[in-house]
Amino acid sequence: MTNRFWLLTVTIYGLLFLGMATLQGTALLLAIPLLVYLGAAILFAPLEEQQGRSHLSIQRQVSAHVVTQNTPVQIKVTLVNEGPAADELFLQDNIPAKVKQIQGDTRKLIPLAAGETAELDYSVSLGRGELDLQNTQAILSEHFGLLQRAIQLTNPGKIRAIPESLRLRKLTIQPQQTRGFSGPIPARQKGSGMSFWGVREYQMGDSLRRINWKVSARRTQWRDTSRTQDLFSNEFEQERIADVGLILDAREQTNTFLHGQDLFEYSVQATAALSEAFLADGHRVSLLTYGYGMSRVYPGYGKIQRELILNALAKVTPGSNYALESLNNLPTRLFPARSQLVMISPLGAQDFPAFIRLSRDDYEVLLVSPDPVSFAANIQSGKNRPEDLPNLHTAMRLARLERNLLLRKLNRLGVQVVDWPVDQPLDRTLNAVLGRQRLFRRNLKAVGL
Amino acid sequence: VSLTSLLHRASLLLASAALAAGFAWERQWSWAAFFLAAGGVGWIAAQLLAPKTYPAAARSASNRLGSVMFIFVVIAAALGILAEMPSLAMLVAILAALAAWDLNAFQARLALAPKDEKTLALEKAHLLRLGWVLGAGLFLSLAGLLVQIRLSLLWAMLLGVVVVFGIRLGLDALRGR
Repeated sequence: MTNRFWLLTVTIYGLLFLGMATLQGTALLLAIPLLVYLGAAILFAPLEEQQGRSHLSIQRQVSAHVVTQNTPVQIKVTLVNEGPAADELFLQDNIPAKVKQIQGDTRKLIPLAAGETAELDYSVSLGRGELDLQNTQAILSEHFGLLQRAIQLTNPGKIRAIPESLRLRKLTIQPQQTRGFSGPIPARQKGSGMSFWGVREYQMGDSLRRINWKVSARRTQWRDTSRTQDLFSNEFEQERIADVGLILDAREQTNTFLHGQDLFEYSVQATAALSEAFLADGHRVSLLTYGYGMSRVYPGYGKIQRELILNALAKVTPGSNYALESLNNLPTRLFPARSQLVMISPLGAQDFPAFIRLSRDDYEVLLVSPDPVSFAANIQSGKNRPEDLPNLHTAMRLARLERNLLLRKLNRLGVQVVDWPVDQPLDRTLNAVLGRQRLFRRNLKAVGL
Repeated sequence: VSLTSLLHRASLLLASAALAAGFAWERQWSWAAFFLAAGGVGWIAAQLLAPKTYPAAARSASNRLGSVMFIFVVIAAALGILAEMPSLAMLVAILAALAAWDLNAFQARLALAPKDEKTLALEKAHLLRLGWVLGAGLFLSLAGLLVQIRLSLLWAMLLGVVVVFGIRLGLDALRGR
């Protein structure tokens, strides 16, 4: 029974009471049209369920259960009426407000005959995360909307939107420890590989292909009148895969959220891209998210690991926890000793000691830091009043100085720092920084350092 | 503009015009003018509160306004009857107010329906039923106005009980069809 039903009932009682109290028959007559209206509503009211069995059955079809974020997903809800006809059916699929509806209707008002089918067909676009569709609401009503029967039809459907992956070119890392399987990283040990390592005397069993004929010719010695020739074989550097531990900083205090835009989304995108790039190179990759709590994807290889990581990234949200306010409580034991760590974090001033600990423990650390200063500056510049702009510029300069100082300190500590202005492609920034560092290392090697 | 919308506005005007005519019949000019003005205000409010998309807030406001207008007309008609204004005018005002109240709510629900043949059929079925109900209400009320029987209290009570049970049995029989 709706509010309108009670309003009408009270009005009818009021008129009847007035007629009887004042002994005015015509006042009673005024109630007659209202009584007829109410009677018609009662007559055509939707029937109650018998023995708790609903006459309506429902089915949901989703075009894809796992999609990349912002990809349209088609949702089709089909309701079949196995009971008597209803004058009106209001059908509504409850979707959260954050979900963007692109096409179609999530609610509908239609007449529903016995045995008839009603459909909701719409498409939505999801941001990163999980959409858990549970219930569809069906309200059966007579034409006047006085008597309704609301039914919650359980109709589960889950859609997971994984983060969009940015394509990255091949990344060069050089951890101190590699694993036993062949891969793309020079292992600093001689063995079978592609890169030249050195030359040694020929040993029985060496392939003829490996003989370095030039060196062998230079070392040819004439003893008396006979010529003895020493052969030399090339040695190659082993190429191995590495253990890569991705650490995503999901702390609320370091991830800037301004005017509906979240820096954390860039961190997630970067993590997804890096995991894909490392897995494509054959490395063993694990993920640790550090925010409200810590969640972990255990080390693994290949496509399944990629899926596990992307699923974990789909669920992660920034949060705060007093115990995890700084990176000092980072559980480094989860990562193999002397392996490659890739930290994705906008960083806070209090995080420096954590990097000292990581360097001391011989981890090779690559820091990809989405720049919160340029991110905030870009958003704020269009939103501020002109008279506030000088103050904003001063504040930004101070913040940038502070951040540059921190990044420089980290660089001196041996951390590879990638300062990523999020309005620029990650691939370009990564390659510019890593390429520079690669060149620097090659030069060091060339001068024998 | 849909037929429902047109009929809604027409019934709003008819309700206020019937009230005004009834009061004007008894030379209550100020009251007649007041009801006409109230009808005009209601009409304008209905125009303003009926945006094409009908967001939830507008729908709720429109429903509230519709209920207020309905109660207002019912009270005015009841007072008119007590002040011995023409009964027919008051009856017409009540009928028109009932139609306006119903159409206002239906219009809000209709905004959620797709614009297709099914919706047109729904609209048609609704208007048809409303027409029948209003017709039956008018017929019964007019019959009550024209046919007057004097009954003792005992007979009246007995008749009342029979009517209540009769309606109950009739409804049950019809619903079990």
